[in-house]
Amino acid sequence: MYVDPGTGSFIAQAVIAGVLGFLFVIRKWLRDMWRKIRGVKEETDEE
Amino acid sequence: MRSEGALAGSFRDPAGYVFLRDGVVLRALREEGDADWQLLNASGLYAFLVEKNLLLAHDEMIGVPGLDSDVKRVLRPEQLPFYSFPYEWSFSQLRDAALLTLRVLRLALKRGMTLKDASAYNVSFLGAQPVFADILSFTRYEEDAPWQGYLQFCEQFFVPLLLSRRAGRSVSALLRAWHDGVPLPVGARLLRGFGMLRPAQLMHVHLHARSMRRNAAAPLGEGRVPRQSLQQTRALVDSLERAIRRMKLPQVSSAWTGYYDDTVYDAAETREKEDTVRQWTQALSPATVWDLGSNTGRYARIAAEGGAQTLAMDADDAVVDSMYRELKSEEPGNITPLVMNLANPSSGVGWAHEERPSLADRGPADLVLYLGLLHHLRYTHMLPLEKQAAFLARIARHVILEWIPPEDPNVRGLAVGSRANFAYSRALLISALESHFDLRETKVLGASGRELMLLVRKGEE
Repeated sequence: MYVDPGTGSFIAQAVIAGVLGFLFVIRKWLRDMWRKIRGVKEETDEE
Repeated sequence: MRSEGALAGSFRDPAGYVFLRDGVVLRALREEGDADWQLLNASGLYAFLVEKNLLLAHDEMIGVPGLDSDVKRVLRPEQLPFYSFPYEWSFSQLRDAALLTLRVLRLALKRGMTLKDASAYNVSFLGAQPVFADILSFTRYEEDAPWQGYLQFCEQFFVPLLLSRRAGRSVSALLRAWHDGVPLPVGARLLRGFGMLRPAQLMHVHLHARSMRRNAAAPLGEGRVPRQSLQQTRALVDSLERAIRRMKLPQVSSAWTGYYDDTVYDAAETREKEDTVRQWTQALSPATVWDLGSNTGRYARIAAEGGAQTLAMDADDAVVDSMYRELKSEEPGNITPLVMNLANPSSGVGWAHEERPSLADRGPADLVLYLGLLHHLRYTHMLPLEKQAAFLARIARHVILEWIPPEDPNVRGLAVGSRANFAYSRALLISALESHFDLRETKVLGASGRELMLLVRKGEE
């Protein structure tokens, strides 16, 4: 059980997650485009 | 909220507590914990995690008497034969525990739940497999809420792993001093240098620590918790997972990695030693075995053949790590390797020295293997034979001890190195043992002069 990470940690997390989230979207878009061009079906993640 | 009978380490979470009843570990859930337990089941997450062996199975108990009035439900978790702690894990064990925590969180996020903390103490080992043990860590995911356990994950997993990679060996022992994890500002200072060019380290350690420093005085009001989408949280988890997956220690050889190759025994004597350990272990049929100074676990494997839950402990994190990586893929999986320096074994840690019990308080083991260890502790750590005998009597019901005579080349080498004339003879050993143990059997191994002794603690069968 852990309760108080503090303001600084939350702010850092929001900024880092924002950047990573943006990169995540770009990467996914590029991967989808690549799959489309090569005609490869999307992999399913069992989890 | 009295939590009567709760284990000494179970007091932080208002959602419930762990307690012991007739030797069985049980978990009491209060209202908040019970709501989360129901959601865990309804979401299908519990069944999925248990099926994948990622989470300890829990049975619901009915009619447990003598509970606090605010307890809504009692669960009986699958009983672990031994709780180990993060400061006893090798690099690969801590790495696998970190990856398990992130995998469990990723799966929880897919099913509308999250982990409210990221404590390394939520994970334990069943054999050589990490398993998530804290059912009360699961809670409902609140839309756009940041992950509460992020800083804790960085301090208890990410920074120790990065420090280990930099040091070239496990620094998990730091978690014994910093019980709640290596403070991020300390980690950021220690990790300065070229590693900062790695994006994951730069973000999760250095920028994270900088933000904490800059906002140290800012109080966290209701409206000040920044919003963070589910996708952003998943990206955060993904980033940590990728960075940790890539972490490896350089393959280092220590003084102990080739120990069995350098032994003074010939093949026949080695076989004789193995056969004797096997035969005596079978005769005792212990439920628990601790192999102290196990090296890569040759004798732990023999002791575990009969199904005993076996701990293979060694002070050398390199050999423990190597053993762990081998054991992960072996059946039947009843051996847990741990890093343990017998000259300074795990003490009671946390509040009132009670939150995490010492090694001795987690015993006694039915059988302790004490092979080729006595002379090392005598000469390298200057531990008198009486003290070794007294500690063995605290942690063992039975002991298989290997006596190595003073004229043995290994002992002579240690004696020359130590430059001291320590009292060390068979007669002194027998004298040290006799107030604690009965000597049931002995076996001299070939021409080496080495001898195995089967000891039974006074008052035991």
